[in-house]
Amino acid sequence: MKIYLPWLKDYIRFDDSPGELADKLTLLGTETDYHLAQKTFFSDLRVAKVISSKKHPNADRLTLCKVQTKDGEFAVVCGAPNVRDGMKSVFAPIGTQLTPKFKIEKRKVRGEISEGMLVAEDEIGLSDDHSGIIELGENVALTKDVTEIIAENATIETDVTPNRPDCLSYFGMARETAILNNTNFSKPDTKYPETGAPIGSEIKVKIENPDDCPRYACRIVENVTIAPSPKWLQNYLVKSGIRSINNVVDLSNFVLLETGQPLHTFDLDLIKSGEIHIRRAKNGEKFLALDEKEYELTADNLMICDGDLPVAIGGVMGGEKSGVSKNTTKILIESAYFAPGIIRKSSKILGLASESSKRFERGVDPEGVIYALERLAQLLVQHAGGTARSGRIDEYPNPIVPNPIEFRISRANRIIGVDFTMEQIHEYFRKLEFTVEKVSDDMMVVKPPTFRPDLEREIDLIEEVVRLYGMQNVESDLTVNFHVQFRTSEENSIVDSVKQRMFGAGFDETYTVSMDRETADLRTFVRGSSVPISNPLSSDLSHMRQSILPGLLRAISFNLRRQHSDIRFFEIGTLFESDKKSETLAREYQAFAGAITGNYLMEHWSIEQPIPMSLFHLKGVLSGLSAFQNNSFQMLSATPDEYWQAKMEIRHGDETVGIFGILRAELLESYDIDQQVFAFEMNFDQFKKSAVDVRRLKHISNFPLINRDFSLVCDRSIPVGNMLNLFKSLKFSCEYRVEFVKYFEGGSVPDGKASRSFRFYFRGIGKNLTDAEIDGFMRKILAVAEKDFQVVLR
Amino acid sequence: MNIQVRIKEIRTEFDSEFSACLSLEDFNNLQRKYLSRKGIVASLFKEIPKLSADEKRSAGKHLNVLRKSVEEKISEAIQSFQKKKKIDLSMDVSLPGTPEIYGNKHILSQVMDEINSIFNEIGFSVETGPEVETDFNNFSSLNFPENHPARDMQDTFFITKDVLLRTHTSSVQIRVMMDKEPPLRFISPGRVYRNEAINARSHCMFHQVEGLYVDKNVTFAELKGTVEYFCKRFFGKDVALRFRPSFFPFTEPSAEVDISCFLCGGSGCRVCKHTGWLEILGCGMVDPNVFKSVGFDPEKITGFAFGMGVERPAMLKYGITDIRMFWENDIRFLHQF
Ligand SMILES: [Zn+2]
Repeated sequence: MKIYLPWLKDYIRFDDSPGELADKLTLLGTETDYHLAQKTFFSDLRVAKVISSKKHPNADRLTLCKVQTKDGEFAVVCGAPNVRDGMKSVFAPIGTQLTPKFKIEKRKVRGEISEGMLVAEDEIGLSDDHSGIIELGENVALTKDVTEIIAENATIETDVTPNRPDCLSYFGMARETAILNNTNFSKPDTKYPETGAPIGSEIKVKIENPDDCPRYACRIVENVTIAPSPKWLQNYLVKSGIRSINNVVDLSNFVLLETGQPLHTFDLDLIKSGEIHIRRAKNGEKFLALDEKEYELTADNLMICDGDLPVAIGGVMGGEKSGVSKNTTKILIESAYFAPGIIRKSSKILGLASESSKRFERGVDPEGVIYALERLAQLLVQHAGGTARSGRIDEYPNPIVPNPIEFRISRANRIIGVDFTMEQIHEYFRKLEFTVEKVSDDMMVVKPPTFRPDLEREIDLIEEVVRLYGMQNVESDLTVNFHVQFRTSEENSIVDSVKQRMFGAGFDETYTVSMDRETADLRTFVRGSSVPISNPLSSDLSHMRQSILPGLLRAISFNLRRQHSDIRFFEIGTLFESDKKSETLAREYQAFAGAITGNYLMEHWSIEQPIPMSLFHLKGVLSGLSAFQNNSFQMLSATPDEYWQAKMEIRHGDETVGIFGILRAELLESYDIDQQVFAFEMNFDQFKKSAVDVRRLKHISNFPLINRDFSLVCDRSIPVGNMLNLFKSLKFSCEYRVEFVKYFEGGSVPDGKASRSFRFYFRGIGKNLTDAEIDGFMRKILAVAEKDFQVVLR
Repeated sequence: MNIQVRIKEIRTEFDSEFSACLSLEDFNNLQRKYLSRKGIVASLFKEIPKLSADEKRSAGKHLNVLRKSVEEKISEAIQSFQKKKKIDLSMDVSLPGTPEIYGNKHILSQVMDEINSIFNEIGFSVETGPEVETDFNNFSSLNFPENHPARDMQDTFFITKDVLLRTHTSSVQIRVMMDKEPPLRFISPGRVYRNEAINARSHCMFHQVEGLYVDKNVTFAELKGTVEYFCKRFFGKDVALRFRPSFFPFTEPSAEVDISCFLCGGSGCRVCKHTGWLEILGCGMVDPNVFKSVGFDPEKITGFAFGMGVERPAMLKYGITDIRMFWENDIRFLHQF
């Protein structure tokens, strides 16, 4: 809410500068901004009095003025509509640098000399107002510093938390300012004359359910003349961020901002039945509101009716047909307390929020209803020519009385960590206008005022104590006095070590968005249906993702479009699927995915040509990770499908827990990717679960390593991997390993056959291996290969 | 043929081949040809057992001489070759090194890891929870009444009326308190979601770290101590802190914590909107209603909670101006941190 300081000063005196006041209010709990950048030219500006003005001989819209400042008299050509003899305004003399590009200079305007400029607010950066030159009060001295005037006329902006409806008003902010400065604020009186037959002879009020509308009060003001508001009122409202409309609407808004109590004004001549009836709307009932839109109502809307005919959505918005128009003379003022819950529902369902609903749904002061009613009547009498009808209606069947709260000092001290005394607390509560009754040395019974609906419990009062004491003044305590908790799993260390390996292998970690289109594209291990968001931001983000790969492809595409084509990405993140049995209706998985594209070895002077990334590069990374974590994941060849041009499944036992392979060009095209991409994704929960820590020293032999090669010719359809797995499964009484070294077809190898060369490494444990022993090993290897794959030694 | 004669022939042959060697590779091949397990010298040794006792002795002697001299000559040649390469003055050492490709941890992971480790130092463990949550865990149990304006503070993505994408990781507090007894001291980092338009300053998803400490006599003063410790470790020991009263449904008293703007030193700049302060963290004492909703007795147990975004402090600390950059994964962005 915008708070115009001259208006605030109508209720309370303070000497703080706008910046100081904003800081103090912020530390008291209402975040307050004062963001007027001090401009260097402010000190050049002068208070000026227009001593004469006449029409420019050559231009209808311009005025020739003589102005007086403390520096002398100047001739000014002015284009503002509001310039007139005797007024005081702000003058920018020759030499003032208003903007970096605009410096005031002596010049001729249509043949007449101008020695400076009378300025509007927007021209010196105070606001967007360009309606006319600034008007200063008549008794502002010519010697007064304009910088000071600007500060006195500043607007500060508050961001009120939802628990403090009282702060959504000038009275509320005056009250907080009074607490800060140890003073009091005073409300204006509401005296005015009343005449005529009592209001009860003309109108009655019937509340269907006092739970919805605990209090409803009204008054009649007659003989009102609708007209533009006086200048001061327009200025107050505009500075507070409210558009000026006419005197009646403006005064109603004035009282709303002043007191925080929303008011509504009806044209009484349009209320035909003589009875105001407050009831819930019927489902499907239609209503034409002030904004000229027709709303379809439900039983969650509270209606103000003329008999049975709705004339306003209670607490939210008035109706088109009963509102004040330019012909209105007889006004019914409504001031009510509506239950916060019903107003919030009502405004939410209609998608209609107003200055009124905002306050009602947070809770206005039920005891402030009458003051606001009387205040508006008084102002209509004073500023709109009205005469007030005798008496008022005040339907308030069950007065709202705040419950007394038991407050223990010991409890406050235990929670805040400060030793407060009874006297201190008493003083805070007095400032807060609480009624306090001391029960014991520790306890008091507290009744907060009705304008503080947020204070219901002891803890609410404890917050008030620390607020008034100042959070800054609570001394920090970093006593390390804690209970150590055991970690239940090694999960995080697995994440860390996997990430470390991936960084070592040149993969960058990405963060991609968890929401995706509705698509089953590229799911690898998640099989259930996806989780739709009922109110998505867009159709591209309408479901919770079921694979990280689309996100990675988008990231690759993003980089390709920026001419970065060598990419290795990985991400560990959450995937989602529907699960009707879960209380969250979803099951979440940790997934581990990656994608690579472009070159493995980039162009460099030391190599003849770059080496492109391949499926086997990715496979090497995955095998390395799996072996490192000692889990029993296996990679098995699988049939290519519409997404994968070549595909392997990552298996854990019989379960497919992931996929890796080469993505199809057509799929990549849909992501705007025109180069080969190799990708994988796996269930990382499974990966973590199956990881076994088997770290235990294996004997390291110092005897020499001996290697022997076999080139084996067999059917070319036999996968090398199968042969390698067979050889790896063999056991010998020494250190043993096997590598695939070469593949060869053609030449002396018959058609349909292929030669595969393997290299076998042996190292004796505790002794040197003899040739005979090694020959024995090699015979065994050949024998199993002959048996399983019908190989012939080449 | 007499073995002695053959040794002599081989010697001559070797010498001529040796003199023809030009490259390191040539010498390596020569070495393999003569000295490997199946090489020429080895094959001559294999013939020794067939000889008479006398011949055996002398042949063995000559063969050993041959082997030694071949070994010496080749290894000398190879060594000198390698040496020559090392002191080759024509080598331009200013040539760029072979690029080693290192992957990089995402800046958000780095920041979260740092936050986690700072809190680990003062005894906070890490707890996690699901991102799709019940209204109960995300709102109701955290003292957000239905039809209360407090819910407007967090625009929510809904799955159904009662299930939603968590708007904060405070939901993890509820899960842990439902499951375990005090004392509890942990942080919960993770992804959270808000139904907000995506632009340079806001995103529909971001990361949060929330913390909770629940025990018999936890005070607001301890909350201040903990938050100060964190802020000074994370932003530098010279930052000033400002606690100011605020409102969160699940804490009371509630506070916002500002740190002095480290970009302008508090004198005011565009980033701190000329206030000299940066809003960094929300915190407060756990509201008794929250304790009631998880079955703790608020008369016996007190506690504090705090929560902060991860993106915002990362943006401030590293001068990142557009929140979308975290999600674009431009490698020039990823490689900068
Ligand atoms: Zn700053």
